[in-house]
Amino acid sequence: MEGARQQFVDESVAVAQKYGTYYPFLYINYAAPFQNPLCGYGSDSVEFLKTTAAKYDPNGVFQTLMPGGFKVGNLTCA
Amino acid sequence: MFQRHILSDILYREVTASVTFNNDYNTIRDIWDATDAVYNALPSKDKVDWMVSFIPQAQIQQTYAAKRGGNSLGLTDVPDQIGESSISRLVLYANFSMQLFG
Repeated sequence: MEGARQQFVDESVAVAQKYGTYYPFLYINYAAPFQNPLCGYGSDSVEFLKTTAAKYDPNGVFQTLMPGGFKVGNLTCA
Repeated sequence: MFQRHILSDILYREVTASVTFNNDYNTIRDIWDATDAVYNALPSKDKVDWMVSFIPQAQIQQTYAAKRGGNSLGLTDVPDQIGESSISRLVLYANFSMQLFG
């Protein structure tokens, strides 16, 4: 299953890049764990997410104890 | 990593992924053909539920951007989607879902 999923991503990205139609934004509801949808929101939004997380969750409970999902705590965007 | 679900007496695992691209016939067609080839190459299709769907960018993202400001895609170097009808909306998501039962 993991192989098929990776193939889907690799093949689809290759097609979109071939036709110059690829967008870095990712739909988070379907994004795979190895994909990075939070960075697709843009640098300003990522900073807002990090600031908000730090303000309301200073001990990082949702960054370290909540399983699954995509975390902003150690997010690094290119 | 996959999600493990139990629906009544049915146990299944699911993996998902998504790719975003500009609304373009050639891209849609070739992604369709490429993912078809991936499915056909599966060593076993028994108890496999395979889905690839193409959907336009959600209206709520545009609504949020319109209210809060900023590009509805969160990107500064691509055209915004605000105001585009779902039919002519530039951006599509190719969403993949594979479920394996039992």
